[in-house]
Amino acid sequence: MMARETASMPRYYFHLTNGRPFHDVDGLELSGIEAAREEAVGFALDIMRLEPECRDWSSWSVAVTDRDQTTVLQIPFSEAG
Amino acid sequence: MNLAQLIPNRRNRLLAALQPADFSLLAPHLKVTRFKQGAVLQEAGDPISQVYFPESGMISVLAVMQGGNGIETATIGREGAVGIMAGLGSRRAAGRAVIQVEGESSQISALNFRTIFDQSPSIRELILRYNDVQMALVQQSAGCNALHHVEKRLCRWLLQTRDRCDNDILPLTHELLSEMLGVQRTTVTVVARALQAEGLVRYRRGQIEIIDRDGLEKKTCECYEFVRAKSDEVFSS
Repeated sequence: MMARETASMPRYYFHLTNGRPFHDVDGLELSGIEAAREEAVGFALDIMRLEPECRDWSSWSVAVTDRDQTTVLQIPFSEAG
Repeated sequence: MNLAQLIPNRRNRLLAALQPADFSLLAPHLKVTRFKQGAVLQEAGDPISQVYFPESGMISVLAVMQGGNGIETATIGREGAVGIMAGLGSRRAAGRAVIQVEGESSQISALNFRTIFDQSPSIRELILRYNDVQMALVQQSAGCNALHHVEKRLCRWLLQTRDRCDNDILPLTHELLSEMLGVQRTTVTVVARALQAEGLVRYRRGQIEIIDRDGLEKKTCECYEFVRAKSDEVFSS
């Protein structure tokens, strides 16, 4: 689906907080917190699918921050599946 | 007679492979149109109204699921065509065709194409051969999408795009890459950053520059070479 990016849309940053740490400096402009939750869950599912040799995801999560680097969502991988 | 000399602007390899008599059947009906990135040429399930022969740029064909998420099943540049099955009587598009890299396409209405297809045995033979090869490529693509790591698939995608654009700087957004590879946009960022860390690409928002083409070829799956060799079979009769 084509998302429309406008100046008024909030930007969210998606970080991996464990295992293979990833600090997102690009971020994505999304319509709001629900779209950010969808992206975070999809991201967690992608990582689990892409790294099948890792069997224990219990310590992994996606942290979502806003422009002010405030954490607005914390999605443990165990809740994404 | 070399057709490429007769029609210097026709860079599409299917059109260029036609005998002059065959091309003269198509030529009066062909119209060249420039398409921008993101333009949808056909939607899956819709009636095929036009056949497109890219002269430059690149088109992706996507399988689209009910939820709206999709994945690329074929990449078509100047070696191919979109909607060509209309010649065989196919009425509806099997996938969504989207312009990935802007460029020009020669297009003809499906109705006219069908009529000409029925008139010329040699056009028929070329299209059937092209269709055979396309089927093999879509098979390979299904296997690649299911079995190969997204990092290898991104490498293949970058190489294929570069081959068609003749340029190391590729205008690719997160949005497009995520649709092509069937992963989230953030996953694209992670993978692109990993390739950058290895010195293979330089990555900016909306653009990827290939730094080490040979390195990408070493890293990608066997599918890149398979597709390249298979595509040439259309033209080696």
